[in-house]
Amino acid sequence: MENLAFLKTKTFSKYYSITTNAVLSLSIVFNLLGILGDLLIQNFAGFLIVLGIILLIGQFLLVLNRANRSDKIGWYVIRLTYVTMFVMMLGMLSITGGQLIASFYLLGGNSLQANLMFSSIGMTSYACFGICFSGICYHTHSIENVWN
Amino acid sequence: MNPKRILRFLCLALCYVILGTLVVLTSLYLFFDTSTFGWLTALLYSSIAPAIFVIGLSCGIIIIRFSFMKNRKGIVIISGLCIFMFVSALIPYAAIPGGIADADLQMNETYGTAYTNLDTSLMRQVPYSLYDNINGMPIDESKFSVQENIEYFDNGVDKFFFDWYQPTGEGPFPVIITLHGGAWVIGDKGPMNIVLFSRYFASQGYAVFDLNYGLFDISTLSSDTAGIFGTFAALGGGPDYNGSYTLQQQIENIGEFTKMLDLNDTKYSADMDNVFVVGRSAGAHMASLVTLGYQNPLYSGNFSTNMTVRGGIWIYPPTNFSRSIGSSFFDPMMQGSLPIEDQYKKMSAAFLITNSTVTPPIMIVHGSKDGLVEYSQSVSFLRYATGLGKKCLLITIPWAGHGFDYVFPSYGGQISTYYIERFFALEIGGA
Repeated sequence: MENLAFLKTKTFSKYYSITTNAVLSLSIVFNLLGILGDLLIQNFAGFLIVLGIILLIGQFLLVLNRANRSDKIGWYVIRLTYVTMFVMMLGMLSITGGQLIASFYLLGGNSLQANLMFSSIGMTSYACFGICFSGICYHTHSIENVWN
Repeated sequence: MNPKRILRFLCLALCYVILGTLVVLTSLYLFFDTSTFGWLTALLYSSIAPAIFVIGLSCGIIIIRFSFMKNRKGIVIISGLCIFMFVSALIPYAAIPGGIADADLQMNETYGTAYTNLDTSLMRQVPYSLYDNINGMPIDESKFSVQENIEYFDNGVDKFFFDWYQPTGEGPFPVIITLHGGAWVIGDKGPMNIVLFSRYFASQGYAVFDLNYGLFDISTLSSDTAGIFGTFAALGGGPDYNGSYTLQQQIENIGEFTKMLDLNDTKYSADMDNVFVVGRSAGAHMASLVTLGYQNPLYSGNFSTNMTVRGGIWIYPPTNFSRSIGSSFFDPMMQGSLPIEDQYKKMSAAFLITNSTVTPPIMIVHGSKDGLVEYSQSVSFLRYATGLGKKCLLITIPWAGHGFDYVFPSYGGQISTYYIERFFALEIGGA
């Protein structure tokens, strides 16, 4: 367990937040660029989306374990974790809903556009909340008592 | 009571319900896929597994945080359930490269250099793209038009219709006839037969004909037999026919369509020398009868005599019907012009391939987790067909259930489309 002690350091926490922030930002950018049709960009976007979700889940666990609930700002960060988690769930439902609309052709000729719209809304919303969340985590490291 | 506490209690209760439901669905998918609820779950599970995992994990974290922070045993149980869902969501996607490698191997073995040298610049470039899974498969809507509900046959009791996906430009175009599934008792053309499949191939220059062909009325069955098909009846859907159509009558209706198309091939820009028959589930069974029966004496007079079937695409097909001694619940549906034992053979691809002089190439696409039509049936058919020297391929969609391509942008729809379009191109090119 001593080998895992670095997970509890402030430095690790800060770098983790920056990484999450960067990956989620890039996933939005590359997801948009993917519309151009370049296979390499699309593959990279897919990789970043998966990586972004994994990092964001890690960020949730980090905050829930390390943020100081007794501190006012710490408690706000924890609340933001739940909100971001909720938005991520909605985002996943939105992406899945878009796929189902297109597959069962529920909106007729608009189904393909609906698929793209729902998936974009889902992806962008959870990524934006994730960017905001990880950014706040990063900046609160300099404030005393927010983190245990 | 404090409103905050009530809200917190409700949120927690909701998380328990969601997590419990998702764990049950995951268990049904993994361990009880042959049960009714199991195969129904498997229809969509593998396609939406990542979303299920993320939602389940979030609920798990909330439950641990609010219920078990000081209870180690509780933490271990909830964590275990989340890991269980993670593994079950990961398995199908981890198996994708293996499924693709196997499919590629079969294509290479069957077509050799024709496959490796095939011009694929206008086709899908990769068998599976996560990007397309999320954002949908791109389809160029400017390259085709659609005319719906065109009547092709009136038997005096019911009228039958088809949708015509017409590519832009000068024809004739290779023909794809798509046949819907639904256990012969439900189903219809259009949204119940994966519209995106038809639209994609129309955009690729194929004249796609999506037709309905009659359904068997389960109210005419005995209560025991009707109960077996009750699940499908509960799913509902399909045209409100006046008559009830046995399997023999259903294939005769499809035959009427081929005759109509033959008579009107110029009008519909149909290249009758390049016809492909695609079906799903019960539709795949019908496709197998068209593929193997269109030049078989058993079906003399049933189909157009001028068409050439270049290939049959059977997606999760039942290929072998055997009748138990005495009776079988399929008997009422199997009634036809021959004695019942012979009728079973006439309706069975495994028998037809034995006595067919003309056997077009066959591509079977089947999910390895199919609990409704067993995957082993397709494996046995592949061995039997290739043993007879027939050209037959089996594309396995790893860990996918029955109806894996209903969520069309998911990996099942993408992988099947990738190999089906190559199969079409190779067969048209005479490989």
